[in-house]
Amino acid sequence: MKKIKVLAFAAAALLTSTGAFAQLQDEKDVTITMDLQPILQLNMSTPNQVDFTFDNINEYYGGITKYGATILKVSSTVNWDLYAIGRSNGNVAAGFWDQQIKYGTGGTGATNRLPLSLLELHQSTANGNSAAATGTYADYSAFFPPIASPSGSNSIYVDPANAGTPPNANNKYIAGHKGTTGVGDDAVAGGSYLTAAAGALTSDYYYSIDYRIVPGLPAVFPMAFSPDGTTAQDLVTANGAGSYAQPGVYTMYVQYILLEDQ
Amino acid sequence: MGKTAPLFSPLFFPLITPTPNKSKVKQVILVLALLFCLNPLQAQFCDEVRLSVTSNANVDFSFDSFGEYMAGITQNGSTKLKVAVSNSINNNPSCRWNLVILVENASSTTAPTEWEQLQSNSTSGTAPQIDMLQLRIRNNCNTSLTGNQFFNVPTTTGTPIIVISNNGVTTPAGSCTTNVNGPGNTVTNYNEYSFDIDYRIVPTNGVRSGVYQLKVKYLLTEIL
Repeated sequence: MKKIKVLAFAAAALLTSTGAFAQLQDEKDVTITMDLQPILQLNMSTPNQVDFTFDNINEYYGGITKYGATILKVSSTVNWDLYAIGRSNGNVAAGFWDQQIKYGTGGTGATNRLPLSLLELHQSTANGNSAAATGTYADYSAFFPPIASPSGSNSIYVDPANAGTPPNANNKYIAGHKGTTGVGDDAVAGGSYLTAAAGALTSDYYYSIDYRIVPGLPAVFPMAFSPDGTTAQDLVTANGAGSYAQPGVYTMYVQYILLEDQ
Repeated sequence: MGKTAPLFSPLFFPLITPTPNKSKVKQVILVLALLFCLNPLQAQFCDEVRLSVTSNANVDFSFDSFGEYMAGITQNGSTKLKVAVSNSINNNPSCRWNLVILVENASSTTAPTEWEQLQSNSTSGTAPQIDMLQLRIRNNCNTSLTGNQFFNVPTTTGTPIIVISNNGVTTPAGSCTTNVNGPGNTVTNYNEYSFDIDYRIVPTNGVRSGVYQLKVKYLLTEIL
């Protein structure tokens, strides 16, 4: 028994001492921190002033179209949406063009309440990321409608309260749409016109915008429609028979908003 | 200085019984002999293994322009490692070492393939993946088995990247070739025992913005 104990202690001592000969190792740690800030860049390489002068009958009848008057280029590191909104200072009323000067009163029926939605837009590339849209017109890619067949397919989105509220699912977006379902449904994937595989001119990151204004004769602006494009807002519909635009100089502005998918 | 792990043999204790006899004693001796035979497998061949970092323990990347997103950001030589392995006391020729890198997201709540998120700026987009990080390990003798080019780290947290391996062969200091793993240090063989680590991150578009973190662990181990 004693022998066994001695052996046991001796062995234990030996085995314990072997602990000092365990594998040597050393370790150092480095911490990598990455700050990914969202980058959204909207580049407009064209003049920021577009003038329409109606000084002959043909222009009243046929309207004036400015092709490629605005070129928009997008670079974004996050999923994004792009929309246009017609705005003014509201010196006539919210939702109407600002009247800078009038050429006489214009007589009976003349009104200076020209709806902002009379401006039509056409985008060069269709919105391919708007499957979640629920309205009649998801974007501005339709060709300008014939003068004889007024349509809201291209009338610019306007917030009636002039508060800059973004369009909803029934309204038009240039790219992406209302909601955060995902790319294809209501968002465009992050990327840039610089690296777009499909080629800059047909990519989702490059848009050539055409403008058209059709006053009609009398000047009732038949292409003015509500934000969802389904209710006419021409001067007769809005103000009654015999209404027409008071001659003068009017101004409005178009905001192009690039924002992270929302 | 390196750490030690205690050894313990549970085989030993069941053999002690209250009724010893000669055969039991023999049994004990046999087992002890066996243990000592096995013991060399766990012996220490080196006297010391030491890893030093002579640079900042934090490497920060800030992406705030589109150009940086497209081209990425490279930080050269952000980490400088120095290896010192000695067998000067026991002069054991079997003293070898290996160097391993482990990239970890250090969070049990983070998916094993993603960076740990410290702060979120957004809900849209995809979480950045660990293999977005690229490393380059270099020294003048190009001893690293990873070569001297950038490579993406493994997709899953904690997957080892072998820089110097346990291949069963001692490549002594002064060889100036790949996988030098014998005793040595930067004083005598700087070109083999120092490592410059370069970091590069090229984010993908559509990645969720925010602040993220990874831990890069450098582990120097004696080969037994």
